[in-house]
Amino acid sequence: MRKKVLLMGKSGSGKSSMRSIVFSNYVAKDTRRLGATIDVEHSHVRFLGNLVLNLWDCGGQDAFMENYLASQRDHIFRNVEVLIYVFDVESREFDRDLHTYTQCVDALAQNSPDAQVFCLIHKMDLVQEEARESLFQDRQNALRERTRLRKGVTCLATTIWDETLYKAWSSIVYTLIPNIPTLERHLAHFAEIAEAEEVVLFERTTFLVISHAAGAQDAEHPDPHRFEKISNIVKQFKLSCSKMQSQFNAFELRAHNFSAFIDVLTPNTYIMVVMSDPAVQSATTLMNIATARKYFDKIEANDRGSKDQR
Amino acid sequence: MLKPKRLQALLEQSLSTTVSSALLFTASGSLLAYASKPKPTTAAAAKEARTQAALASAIWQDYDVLGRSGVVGEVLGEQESGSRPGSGSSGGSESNGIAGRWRSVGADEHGAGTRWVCVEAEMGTLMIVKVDVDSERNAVHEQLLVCLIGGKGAEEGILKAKADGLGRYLAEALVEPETNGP
Repeated sequence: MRKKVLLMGKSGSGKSSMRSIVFSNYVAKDTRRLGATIDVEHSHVRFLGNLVLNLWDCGGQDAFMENYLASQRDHIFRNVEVLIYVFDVESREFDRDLHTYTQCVDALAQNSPDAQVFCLIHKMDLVQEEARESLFQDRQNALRERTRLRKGVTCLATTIWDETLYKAWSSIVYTLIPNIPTLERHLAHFAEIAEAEEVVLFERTTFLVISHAAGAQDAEHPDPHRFEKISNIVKQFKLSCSKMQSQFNAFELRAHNFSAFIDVLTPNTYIMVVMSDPAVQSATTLMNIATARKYFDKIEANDRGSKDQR
Repeated sequence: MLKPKRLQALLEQSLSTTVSSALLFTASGSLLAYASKPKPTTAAAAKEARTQAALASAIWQDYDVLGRSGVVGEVLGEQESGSRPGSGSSGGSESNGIAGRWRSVGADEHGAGTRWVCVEAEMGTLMIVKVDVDSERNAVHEQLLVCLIGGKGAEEGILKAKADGLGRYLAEALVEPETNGP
């Protein structure tokens, strides 16, 4: 299944950097060596095995943008599932950026009226912490006003220097995955039987959070941003493992009041299980994951089968 | 799948004045669940249980090899080999169990390995029993063993009966449900 995703925004706003970090295993520091993107860079990213994200990283220089909106209009804006528009928060010409954005959204509305739009207010690390929330709200209001599309627009604040990048991309990719409700149901069932505190499902290569389920809990978890933080941390660890010429396969962490296990679940996903009862032996949880593996493989195979029939 | 709390509650039921510990572990030595008296709350108790599981599985594996090759009798100085078919019930248990002076081994009917091993030591008795899950329907694809550790006053018969009961219950509980799809 192919889904076309457009990545647009002004020149230098951070599109190629984000793409490299999320999909190409770059570390934030490595993005310094990226130059300006010339015209459109196409990449086909395999996600969850059977989903191909057709990523169009469009160069942001004025000459290219004019081209996209004029002569290449149909070619670029047709059959789009998701448009990701990146705004550099430090830009001094926000009105001009907004104008270009509106033109793109209009072109999109003509050619792919059902597309979803995500606006990433990027480089938030350059803004003072106290000012971030209000600045983001301002931008969000302006964008909401200007986007006249059926599905509206989702705005997210991001920076490559912390986990907000993963949060944004997880949300984006989440809308593209077809069988989320089934996955979530099974994950919840697994969490209940294994008596886990929390269970998280990650995509294999990008480590983006696909879904999560919690076992029986009384209180709300104090940190709603824990998933993207974990994505960030584990991905860094995975990259450092590959720098040492070894493959990351599984991970077990035993502390005095909890234990966490990260292991392969299906060929395209990792699962993280957090157990809050230290009396439960590691072997039990690992065995449960092994048993669950078969069921999740079956789910994935069923989906693949039904898609091939379409 | 294994439910940790239920497993522990189940193992605790086997404990008594003479039975001091109950362990559930894999044939390769990984501890899955344990219960012991007095109720353990420390990491040291968990470590001890893991050591016990590792040792018990090592003992088991030695005798399992013998059970499969069917030459248990020879090794223990008996005339007949241990692979003669016989039922595992209480009446016939002596016909396929060779009781040595300080160890007894019950061999499986089809020569498919050992069924139970009992070790009588100075300070107590160890009863290791195989959990017999039908291999095609086994939800947990590994050989599981149950071990009961009895103190000085423990009788082999009671230990065997309790361990058998535990093993039978687990064998039923760990069978995969017959579902068409998840």
